[in-house]
Amino acid sequence: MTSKSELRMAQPMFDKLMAHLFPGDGDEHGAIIQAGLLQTTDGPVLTARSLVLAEEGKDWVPGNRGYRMMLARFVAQQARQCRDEKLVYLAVHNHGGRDSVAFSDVDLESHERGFPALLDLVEGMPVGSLVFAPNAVAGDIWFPGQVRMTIRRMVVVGAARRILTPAPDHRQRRAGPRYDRQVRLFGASGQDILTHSRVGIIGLGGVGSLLAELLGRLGVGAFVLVDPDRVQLSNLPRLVDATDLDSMSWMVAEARPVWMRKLGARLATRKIDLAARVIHRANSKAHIQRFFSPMEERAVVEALKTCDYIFMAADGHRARRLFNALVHQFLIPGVQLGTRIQADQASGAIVNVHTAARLVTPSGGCLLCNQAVSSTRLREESVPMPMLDAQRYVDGDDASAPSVITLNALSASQAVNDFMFYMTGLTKQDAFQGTIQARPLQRGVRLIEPRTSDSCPDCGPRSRLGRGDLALIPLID
Amino acid sequence: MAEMRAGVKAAIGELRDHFSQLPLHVFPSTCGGAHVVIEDVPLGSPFAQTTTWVGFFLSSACPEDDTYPFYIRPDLSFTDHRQLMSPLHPGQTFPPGGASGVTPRAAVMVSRRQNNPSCWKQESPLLKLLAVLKWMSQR
Repeated sequence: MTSKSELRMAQPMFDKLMAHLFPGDGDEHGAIIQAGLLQTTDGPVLTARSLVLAEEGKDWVPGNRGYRMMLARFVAQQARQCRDEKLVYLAVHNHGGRDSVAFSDVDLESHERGFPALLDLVEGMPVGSLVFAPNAVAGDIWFPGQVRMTIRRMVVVGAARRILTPAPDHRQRRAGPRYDRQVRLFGASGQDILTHSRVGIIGLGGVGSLLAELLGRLGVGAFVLVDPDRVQLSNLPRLVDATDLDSMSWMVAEARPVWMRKLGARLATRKIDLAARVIHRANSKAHIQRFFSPMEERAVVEALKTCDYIFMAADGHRARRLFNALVHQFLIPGVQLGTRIQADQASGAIVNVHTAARLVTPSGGCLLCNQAVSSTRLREESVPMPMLDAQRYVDGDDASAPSVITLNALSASQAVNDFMFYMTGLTKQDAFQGTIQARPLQRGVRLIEPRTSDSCPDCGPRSRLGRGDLALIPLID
Repeated sequence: MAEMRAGVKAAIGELRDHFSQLPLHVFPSTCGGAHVVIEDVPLGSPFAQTTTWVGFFLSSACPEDDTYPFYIRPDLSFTDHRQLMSPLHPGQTFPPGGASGVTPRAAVMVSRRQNNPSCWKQESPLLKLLAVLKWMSQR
């Protein structure tokens, strides 16, 4: 064994697998998982894409050497599909016990006998085996080139995050006095989870700035911050801790000559640096990776691969498109936040104000299925500005949208609460998983059920869901 | 110059396959997209001209984004002398805003956007072009 990897699985697949492995008969059962493969700076990640249950007596029969086995025909059929679709073949079975699990000697001998041939069959992809107990999983993954790995942990992405490991971690957690009040809510183990969690914040404007403050104060341990902009004077009422100096207000004032205003704009603080300052004031130990660029950069995608959660607080549809692809392809949950202020075109009167925190997970809330990405807006954001200006035949609305910190705070606090309870495992399994829309003019809240479409290229049956690195990433590849 | 994106290359391949008998010119852009011009594309019966060139831009978001507008010959006219009306916009230039390496052409702009927000519809540039040509032939 040389190294360890992670396995990610969406809740519906996990529920189906557990129901098959542990129907209450105390017996062993089998299945095959086809998984994507993701190379990250923390090591390989396997992303469960599809589950094939081995049928009792047909695919799963009494073994020649061990207690049970999968028939060669079934194994070969699934392995060939993995070869054709560039997926990782994972044979699954269960053992007794509850919180700990390990392969038996017979299991390991069968790997030694069977995996070399399987590796040849799948032509370049890893193959492996998983063994489950109700609260534990162990893995033995064989990569081409005689590299062999165990499974460090399995992350089940559901309403609440669940972690399975080969054995319980009995280390005592102590949070210290700083987090005493919140530890009383989710315990020292919950604080430890937050300390070891890593989040991405895309967009450090009005909403992202508040996210940075809230997540920093919670004690989240690592951040990926992405924003291509610098602080402007008109941002100061909405950015946490921003000062006149950050916007270079004395240089960019209207009375100043053009050259001085341009220089002031270039010297203004980068929004990612302002957010990093805010986070470090709350938690000096936080590890922060900064990207002064749009989200649609390869380096940003590489950094986001290891995140536990992604907060999408950027306005653009290009960023939304990419975010949605990453959630589904890499099985990383996230939330898209926004505020909409509608005015009557004739009178200018405000007719509607709403803020939204839209959960986007591998099993629900897809932005494509829920009309939150427009191909027309993608087009407008993807053509060079001179071209867009030249082809504009209807006057576009180039004015900046209204924005107020108190409205941003509604969606930001909802999103961070959702994250906090998800990570610490406290969200109820039957919790509402759609969009929470606050309507402050009515002092009301609306719950919007997410929709799905079978033809969706991100979440449908033939989509990029769980495909890892081996599917093209929109706007990147 | 950014390398041409995989989606742009695939779209060009699809266009070449479909219009294999026609001259097709590709001008890579600096941002991973490309300007494309197809010559001698047949026009339908409503028009006085039998063929046209068609120019358009494939952005770095291709095929995720809508492909529009398309640009066609500048002297386009109806056989029954009707005026060209929106979304046919005479007096335009292709490529709009200019582009390095592409000789500007006077053009009529055909701007047909996807206006159905009720579902995510990924339509390849070829399918979009064919839909626009069909729409024109039915004017």
